[in-house]
Parts: sequence; C-alpha cells; structure tokens
Amino acid sequence: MKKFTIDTSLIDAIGDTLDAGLSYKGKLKTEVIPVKKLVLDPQNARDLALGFEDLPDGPSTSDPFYERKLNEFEDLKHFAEEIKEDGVLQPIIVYEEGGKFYVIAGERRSLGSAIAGLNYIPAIVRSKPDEYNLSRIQWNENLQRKNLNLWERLQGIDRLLKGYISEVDPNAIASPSLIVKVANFSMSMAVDYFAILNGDQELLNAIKEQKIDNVKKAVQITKIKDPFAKRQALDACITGATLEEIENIATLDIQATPSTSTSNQKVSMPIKTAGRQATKVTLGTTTNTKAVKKIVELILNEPEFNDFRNKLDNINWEDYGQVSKLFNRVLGLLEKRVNK
Amino acid sequence: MAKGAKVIVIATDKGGDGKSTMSIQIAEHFAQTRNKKGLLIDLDPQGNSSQHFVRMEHDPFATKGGKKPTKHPEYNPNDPEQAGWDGITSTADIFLGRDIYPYPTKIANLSVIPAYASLLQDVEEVSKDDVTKKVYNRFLQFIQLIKNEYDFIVLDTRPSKGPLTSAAIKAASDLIIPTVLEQWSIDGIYGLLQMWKTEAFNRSDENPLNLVGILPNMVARTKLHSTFLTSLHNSNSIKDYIMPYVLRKRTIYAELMVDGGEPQSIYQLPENHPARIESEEVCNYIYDKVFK
Repeated sequence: MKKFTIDTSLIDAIGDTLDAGLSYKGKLKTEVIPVKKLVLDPQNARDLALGFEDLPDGPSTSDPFYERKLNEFEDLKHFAEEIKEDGVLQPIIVYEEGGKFYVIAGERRSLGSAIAGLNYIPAIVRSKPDEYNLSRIQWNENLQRKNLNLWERLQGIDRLLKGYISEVDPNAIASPSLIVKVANFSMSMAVDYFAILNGDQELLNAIKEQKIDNVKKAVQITKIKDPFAKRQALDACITGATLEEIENIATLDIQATPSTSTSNQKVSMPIKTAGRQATKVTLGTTTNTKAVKKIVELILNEPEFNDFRNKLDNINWEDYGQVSKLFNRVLGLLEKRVNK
Repeated sequence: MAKGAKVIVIATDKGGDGKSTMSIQIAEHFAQTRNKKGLLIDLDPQGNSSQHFVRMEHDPFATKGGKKPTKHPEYNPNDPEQAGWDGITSTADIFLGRDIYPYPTKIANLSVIPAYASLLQDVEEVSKDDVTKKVYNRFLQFIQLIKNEYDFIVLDTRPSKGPLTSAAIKAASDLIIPTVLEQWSIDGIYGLLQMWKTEAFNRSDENPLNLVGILPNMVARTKLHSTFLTSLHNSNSIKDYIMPYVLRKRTIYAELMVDGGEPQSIYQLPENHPARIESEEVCNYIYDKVFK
C-alpha cells in the first residue's frame, strides 16, 4: 500500500523559518547614524538625569541635580572606556523625525558613545511608534535590565495603560486585567501594582522619592482606610518597619484568648462577620486598651451608669481578655438603654 | 508605507513549478481585470514569460539555451534619436547600464522587459566581489527609478538562488512561492524561505518584504498531492501561508503558452471555464494581499 508523508523535519524547518522571519521582520535592520543627531526621550521611565547637554565635561556645579548627574557621569565614563575598546556591541533603537533620531532604547550607550568621542553609533531605525508601542518597547527594554525601582516600574505601567487606551482601545478601562495584558504580569502582581497606582498622593510621593521601594509594603498601606493609621503605617514603612509590622497596623488583627497572660494578646471586640450582606455592625479590633478605656468612660459618664462606673477600678487594663469582656458588658448596657 | 509600485517576485528553487505561468496570470489579471498599470520584468534566461507577450527568437549564443527578443515595435533605424540603438532592449540592459525601452503588449496597461538569454547568463557569472555592486545595487536602483511609473511590477525569476533571483528578492515588496506538491519542490520551499527571512530581517518597517504565500500549483487528484497538501495545512506554523486556493494540473495552461496559438490568454476563455475560475480566485487573493 502506498504511503506518502512530508518528513516532519522538513515541515519543522519550514515552520521555524517562517516563525523566525515573521517574528523579526522589519526589526533588525541596522544602520550607522551620527551621535550628534541623537535626542533622548524625556518620557522614558528609565531616566538618567544626565543628558547630552552635560557633555563632554560633566554637569555644572550649579545644576540642581549635580550630585546625581555627577555620579551618572562618572559611571558612564567607565562605560565609555569599554566603548572605546570594543565599540557599541548592541545597536540602539531609534526613530527618525525631523532629521533627528529619538532614542527609544539605549540611553546609556548613546551617552557613553558621546563621552567616548564616537561620531557614529549602530542603530536600528524604526518608524515612529505610537505612544503605546513606544512605551511597550521601552518597558521591555528596561525590564531586561531588571534594576528598575518601584517608581520607575509604576511609571512604565502607567504609560503602558495610557498608551493602550489612547492608541489601541479607547473603550478599555485601566484595571488589573489590562495590566496583565500590557505588561505581561501575573494577575496577582497586576492587582498589587494597580492598587499602588491608585494609592493616595502621599504614598506615591514617598515611592517617587525612593523612600518606599517594596511592593508588598506599599500594597498594605493602600489597604488602610483610616487616615491616622495610614499615616502611621507610611511613617513606619519609611523608617524601616517590617512587612509584618505594617500588616499589623493595616489589619489591626486582634484575637482574645482565655488566658490572663497579657503577652501577645489583643482586645477582642464583638466582631460579627456577616455574609455577603452585612446584618450586624462590626466594631473593629484594637491593641490600644487606652482607646477602649476612653470609649468605656465616655459611655459610663451617663448618670444612669453610675453604679457600673465603679467597677472600672477593678479592671486590669493590660489584660485583653478582661477589657474585651468589659467592653461587651458596657455595650450590652448601652443597647438596653437605647431600646427603652 | 513604501511609495510607488508594488514589486511582486515569483520565485522557486526548482524549475517547472509554474513561476512563468503565474507571472503571466498575475500580470494579465492586474492589468486587465483590475485596470492597474504594470510592467513584467523577465529575469529568467529561458524567457518563457517574455515569449507570451513579445516576439522572441532563439539566442544562438546562449550556452544553456534560451531566447532573445526581436526588435522593438517602435524601433526606427532612420530616427536620429534612436541612433546607436540596435532596436533590442532586455533585462540584461539593466545590469549593463544601457537605456531600457519596455515592449508594449496586447494589453494596454501592460509592458514587458523581456529576457535575453546569453546576456543574462553573463550577468550571473559576475564574481562574488562584484555581485553587490553590479547586480543587486544596479537592479535596486533601476526599480527605484521606475517604480513611480507603474502600479505593479512583476518579476519572473529563474529556478535558482543565484544573483538574479537574489536581486529580485532584494528589490521586491511581495514574494509568492508557487510549488508542486512533490518532494523536491517542497524541499525547495525551505531554501526560498531562508532567502526571504534574511531579506526580511534587513528591511525596515516602512519597506517590508511581505510573504504573500505558497501557492499549490499543478495540483493533481492523486493521493500524493492531497496528502502533501494536507500535511502543509496541518502545520500550525505553515498553514497561514499556504494560499487557500490551488491551481489544478490542466492542459489548458500549456495550450495558452503555444506560440501563435489560440486562445492566448486565460481571459479569452469563457467566464465559467474551470481554469479561468480558479485563476481568478488565486489572482484575486493575491491582489487583496498585495494591495491591502
């Protein structure tokens, strides 16, 4: 019986060639362009403070960013020595507009080449991408360096979202799902970054000033609704609190135990958790027994509670169990009073 | 987006797979049915597509056989402006730096630069050091010079990966690979795709080399052909580039190529002729891909 097949190795070879060609079609054409025609993209999240205007001698002492620029300049001078030796090994990526070449990726190579005194630099010249594709290319290029700080990552994601909504789908809404799509994050990472992006300005300022660089800590802070507690958590984070300490402030997670031991115990408020629809009021939990004492004193200040007020003298305010029971009792008295 | 004509190259690594027939059908369809102004450039020393449109004669100096064009219909030896011209123009003149006078055809919108076998064979025998300058660059410059004069340019090539085929691929905007559904032809697809890939990498976004597709040609109703076609369609990475239409093995295609025969064009066949129907399907598909 006749049997005919195309050898799988040939099918694979043809398929692989098609894949390779389609993947990099139009993306690898390298040219050599004048360094003096390069322009750095001010919107690139990976922003060096140093620019071409600071070369060849370095930043001016009167520059407000002098210290940072000086550090970058010294770092790039070392890089320039390598470039003098070996040339620029990897082409930068640019787009051309108005006779200038705008750097999409390759800021350090560009500045390093200028410091090294090169007149030309290898570049892949692309057509000017739209805002979304520009931010996507820069995001992928920056990600490959893996040392972006939290603020730079947030900036990159913000640009991707805005670019996608502006250029690709005006009906799209910024959301964790969209972050998954544009930044190729997992959903859990996307949820975290989305929460931080929508955090209040104080948190974002602290991140921008690189006082906070930890995603998980920043996420915990976003969960705090009470402004006072949020301020507390922010300050704690800036001064080096652990994630657990910030979580404690965030959740005020308090559990009562039968023991009279005061160590590692907390006041238990009558917490009643409802299902999807709340049927009871949740009064919260706290470790701060002074606050509880204040509440109790205010309630018992009413004349009709005179008899009960005396019992406060016998309370050990450091015993969370006792304080919890007291609060329950006071709440019960109050309920009876208002129901009369 | 690149301006000027679409430059469509039809290339295979193996002879007899239907390049010239395909070149003719595309040129006729685009010029006649789609009313586009076009030019067919025959880079195959065999001169098959030239012969369909231009009166050719055997080239006695072609060591590997082939044809050369007869005198241009507008040649006038008494015209002082044509002094110094022997009345013959061919694709070889592109590489020799001479003036080019495309030949008119029976289709008003379509002109042809015919092959000249022995001269083209000489062009291909250039050294490796000279091939870029004397073949690739010259052909590219010529195409750049003329492409604003036409809506499309069809490049018929010889069955090889030599300098002329490479030059055609380097100058093209679109590539079509006809194939017979048999082992050696399909082997040849791989080599052509390697050339396409290398060229595609070297192009900018604004000037891509689009792969229009692989056209199953001369398809017979045999188990061999149907099995091979199915294998190609079943491959996830290949199937999108196998054209959804085929050209069947039909005697009529050979009959249309007979010198002085009738009919001379697929468009002289009745509209419901199976060959015309399938040819139009294929050409319409290619047109939509090229002019998207």
